[in-house]
Amino acid sequence: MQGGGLTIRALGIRILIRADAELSRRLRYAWRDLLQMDDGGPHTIELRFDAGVAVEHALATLTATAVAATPHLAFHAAVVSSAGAVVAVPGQSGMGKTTLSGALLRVGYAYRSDEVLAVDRTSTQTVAFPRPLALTSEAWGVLALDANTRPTAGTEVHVDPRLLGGVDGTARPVTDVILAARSDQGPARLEQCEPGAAAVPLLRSSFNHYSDPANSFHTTVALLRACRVWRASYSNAADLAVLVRQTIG
Amino acid sequence: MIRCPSPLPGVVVEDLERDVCLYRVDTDEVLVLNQSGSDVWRLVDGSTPVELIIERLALAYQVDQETIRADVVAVIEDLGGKGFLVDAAAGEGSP
Repeated sequence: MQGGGLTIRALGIRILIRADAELSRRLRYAWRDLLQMDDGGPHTIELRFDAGVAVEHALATLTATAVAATPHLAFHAAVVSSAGAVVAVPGQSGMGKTTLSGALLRVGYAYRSDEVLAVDRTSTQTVAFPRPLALTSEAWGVLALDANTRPTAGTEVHVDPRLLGGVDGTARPVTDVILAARSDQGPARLEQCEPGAAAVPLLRSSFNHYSDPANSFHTTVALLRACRVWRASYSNAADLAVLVRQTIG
Repeated sequence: MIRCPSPLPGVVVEDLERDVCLYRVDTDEVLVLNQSGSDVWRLVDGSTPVELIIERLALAYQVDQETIRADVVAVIEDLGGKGFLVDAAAGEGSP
């Protein structure tokens, strides 16, 4: 194997990636917001990819590896930010987090992650995880991206978030949590609710609270104490993004 | 019927504004109580009988005890059914 590797820092984990030159080049580009100079120190994890591995597979493996090993409390959530807000949208796979992330970038938010809200268990500051967005053909249409490069139905394409907006990799606290639900019709709605409404959905969307459940519960409630919580319903992610921007700022 | 409710040992409790959040580590269940449920929970200590909880809440709300009795009992029975509290008086008076 030639070309060696690269070191990234993802969710508090240092990962040394060994791959052939072409895959290393593509990963280096895709993960450039998480790249770290290799200082020669010990790596938490070393990943080795054989020649010919698809970049999408490598990216998925990297995400799974980082989530499995992170010391932070990690939730399944999309996270974006503005100057005054860090907005998290928890939800399981398939609920439209990535499409909504893209739509929120389109209206001026900066990207932090389409997949993971990582919270420091002590400070409750969030750690950004700005991996490429995995967009489906449907999301492509919602986000009004170039029709000529639209992925075929049933596939995903990893997209540089900078195609849609800025990237925010700084450590910041969450200010707003949106409990979003898709509906078949009707205008997008966004209404503030009691913070307690998010306790169960957040813990249910956790990747790793089981590793320290009582502490994770304390951290989750501490996070919610500092947040506004909203219920949203929408049929079109772009409509909800506009409403979120107007309401939360 | 629970006579003297007590939090299940190991239940993790957090206040979140006016609500109380409960977490059972053993079953990974979370329960967020509304304000009235939270008021009941805050009086559950394993030594205060249900009748005294009703009396204290009636005094706090400035209502007749009968007005709130059914709701208080329902909250306690529900919490007991979900395993977040147990009856500290269970076994007392049995032969």
